Amino acid sequence: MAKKKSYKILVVEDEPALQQTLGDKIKREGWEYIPSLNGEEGLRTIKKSQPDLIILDLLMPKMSGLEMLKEVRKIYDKQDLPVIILTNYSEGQNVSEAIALGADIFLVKANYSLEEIIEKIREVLD
Amino acid sequence: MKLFTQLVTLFIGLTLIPLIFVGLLTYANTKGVITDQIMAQLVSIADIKKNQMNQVIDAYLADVEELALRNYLRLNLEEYNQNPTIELASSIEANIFDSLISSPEIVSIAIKDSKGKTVASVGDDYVEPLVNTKQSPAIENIFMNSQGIPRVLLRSPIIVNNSTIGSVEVVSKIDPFRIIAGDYSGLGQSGEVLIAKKNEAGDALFLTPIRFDQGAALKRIVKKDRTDVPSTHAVSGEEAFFLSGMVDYRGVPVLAVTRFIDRQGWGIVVKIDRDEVFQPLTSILLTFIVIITTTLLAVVLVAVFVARAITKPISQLSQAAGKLSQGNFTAAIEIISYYPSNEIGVMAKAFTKMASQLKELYRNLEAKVKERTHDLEKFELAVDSAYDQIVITNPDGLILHANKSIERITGFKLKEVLGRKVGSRELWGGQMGPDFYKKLWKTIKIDKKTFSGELINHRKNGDNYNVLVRISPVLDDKNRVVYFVGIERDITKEKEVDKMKTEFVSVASHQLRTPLTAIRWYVEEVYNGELGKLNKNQKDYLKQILESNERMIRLVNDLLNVSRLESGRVTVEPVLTDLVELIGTVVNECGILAKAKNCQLNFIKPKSKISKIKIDPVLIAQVINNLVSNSLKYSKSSGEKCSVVIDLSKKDPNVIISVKDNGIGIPSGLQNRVFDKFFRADNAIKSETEGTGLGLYISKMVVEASGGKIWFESSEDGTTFTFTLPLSGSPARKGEKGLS
Repeated sequence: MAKKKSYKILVVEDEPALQQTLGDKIKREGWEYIPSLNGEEGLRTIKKSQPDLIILDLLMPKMSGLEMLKEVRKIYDKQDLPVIILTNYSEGQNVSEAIALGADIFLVKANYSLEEIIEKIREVLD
Repeated sequence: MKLFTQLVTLFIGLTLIPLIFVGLLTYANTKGVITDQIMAQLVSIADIKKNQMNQVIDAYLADVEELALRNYLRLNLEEYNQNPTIELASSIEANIFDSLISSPEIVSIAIKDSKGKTVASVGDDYVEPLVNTKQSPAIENIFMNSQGIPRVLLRSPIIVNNSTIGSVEVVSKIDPFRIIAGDYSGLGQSGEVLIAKKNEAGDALFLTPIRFDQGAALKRIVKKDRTDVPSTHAVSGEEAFFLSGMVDYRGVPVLAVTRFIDRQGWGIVVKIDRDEVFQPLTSILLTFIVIITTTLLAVVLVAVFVARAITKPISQLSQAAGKLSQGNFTAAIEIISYYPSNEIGVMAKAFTKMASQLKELYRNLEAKVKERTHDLEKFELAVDSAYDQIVITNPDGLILHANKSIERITGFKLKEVLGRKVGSRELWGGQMGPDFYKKLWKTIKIDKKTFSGELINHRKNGDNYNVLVRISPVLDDKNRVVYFVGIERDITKEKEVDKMKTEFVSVASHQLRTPLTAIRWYVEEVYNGELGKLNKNQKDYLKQILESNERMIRLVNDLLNVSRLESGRVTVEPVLTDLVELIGTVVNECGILAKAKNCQLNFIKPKSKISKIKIDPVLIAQVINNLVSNSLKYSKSSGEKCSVVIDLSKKDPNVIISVKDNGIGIPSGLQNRVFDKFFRADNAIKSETEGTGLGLYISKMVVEASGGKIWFESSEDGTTFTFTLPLSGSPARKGEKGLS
């Protein structure tokens, strides 16, 4: 039996409905789910809880996803703390910027099922 | 002086001057001749008169001498002297009385004794005894008698044996003298003969009546100081001729000759009035004046006529030339009305012709210039009123002209920018990187092609603005750049609108996607049984929800793509792509759908190898996918087995990809709308209710952005869609990364 590693997933997302489904799904996978409602909170939470991966939305109040990513990457690089951008804001500019800032993958939420998203997480963390 | 006047003057001068010259000569000549003639005549007459006078005097003396020599008388007188008796006296008286009677001209005779006492006298005039006696007969005097009649007093001594015993005195008429003086023959109408002697005062006393003064005898005098009168000279003994400067006793200018009778002391003047002498001269002069005047008139008339005939054409020509020099061609031609058949006429004709040609030339030129100006005005107007900014520069980029829009767009006025270098920081340019400008100049100056691009400029007040620019070189016939024409359009607003649209679309799509995502995830989890087992019906319903939701998501994606494609924001990233591989991948992807539709999907590879071409694989894959899935979706449900064939071939300069099906086809009436946004044909809708109507629209945009063309053929038996891609590859386009 493969040892199911328990990952700590930080989900930075301002939509409560989406937080819930994502959270439930992660929990069902047997991973730890840490929510944050905006970039600012996200940064604080990183310090507190040391996640293995960040699911990062872009459009958020107080601090946007890209801003937070910038801050994160000041401290943690891709190897240490991979980031998956999960957003419905698909402007191409953001994609290249996000990748340039050190995101691993850029996903448009509406185009992926939860199952597919879990797959991607697994891909990145393995 | 005008030519006409010159000619007339010449004519007049040429005729009059010789005429006058000749006239003057003739006059002078004639005068001389006349003078000489008259003078000779006068001299001759004067001599004759002198002769005559002498003869008359001789005659007188002879008469008196005769008496004195009468023997009878002498004897009687001698006797008387001794013995003065009355008988003797009477005898003497009777003697002289005879002479008196027999000589009509004798007026009185008196015999005087030696003492001077009158012995006997007969006749009327009696004279006082004289004191002076001469020894020979002489004319003692001419005197006025008591009646005022001039008489001659003659005297002769009576001599016997050499001693004077007495004298005889005779008073005679002066008629002989008068006759001499009264003979004016040869002296014209005004000639006179004057006989005069000096009186006691020394003045000249006329002795005889004269032509113009019958009572002049012994009355009229000419004062001795009047040396301008010939009489004065005559009585002084001068024998001369006087041609000029002399007047007579009347004060009238005369020609005169003087003679002197020595023994009497009498002067003779033969004179004639100058006027009479020179009268012929005067009439010559008058005639001459008449001739000259008449000639002058005639000459003037002729001269005017001839001069006019000569000068008229010249004058016309000169006037015409004047008008020509002022640019008045019509007047120049019209002025010349007369072409004489001489060299002037030739000149005039040539001139008229030249003027006509010039007029024509000018007219043509004017018309051309007008036309060009019209054209120019049209174009100037067009350029000036263009909404975009139009700048014309010389090959070095110095601004020659800019239209009005420059002030509106850049904030600089036309006069501020003329002559300055375009694209400089001081004006509205210079904000793009050096590479940009390098490329710009290379394109227009070295490649001599049009440059199009977008850039950012700044207005005079410092504000930045977006510009769509198009700069074209204008070349001369030697392919050298003479101008650059740059058109700039301020697209700041468009860019803003674009940006807003983009943002709107992004935000809108984001806002739409968020609830769609929520629905998807929640429903998916329930559908997958994560929240408990479901019965079939529940699963069915949830499936429906999921499918509808998926449709919505696809629609949002399509809308987003369309928006991006339309605003040109899709990146075309050409990479060398193997088409065979690409199509193969798509075929694989569509495999599931093909199976579901029970369709045969075939890919016909090309006969000869097609090398990789530069295309954007993502975009082209999308197109092929769209065409294939359309073919599969719109296949016939009954009848022949559904078959979709993909063909790849090469035909210079393109590759050709076609997707052929035997599906439901596109109704002919709707075929022209197939590529329209959101268009779906009725039969398509019936066949497959899903479908956004955007697939072909997007495919067309992608194909055309890639440099190719897309078209189709369709009937009830099926449809074939074909598109081309250039072998040279698609042009790269910067936008945002790919399609959703």
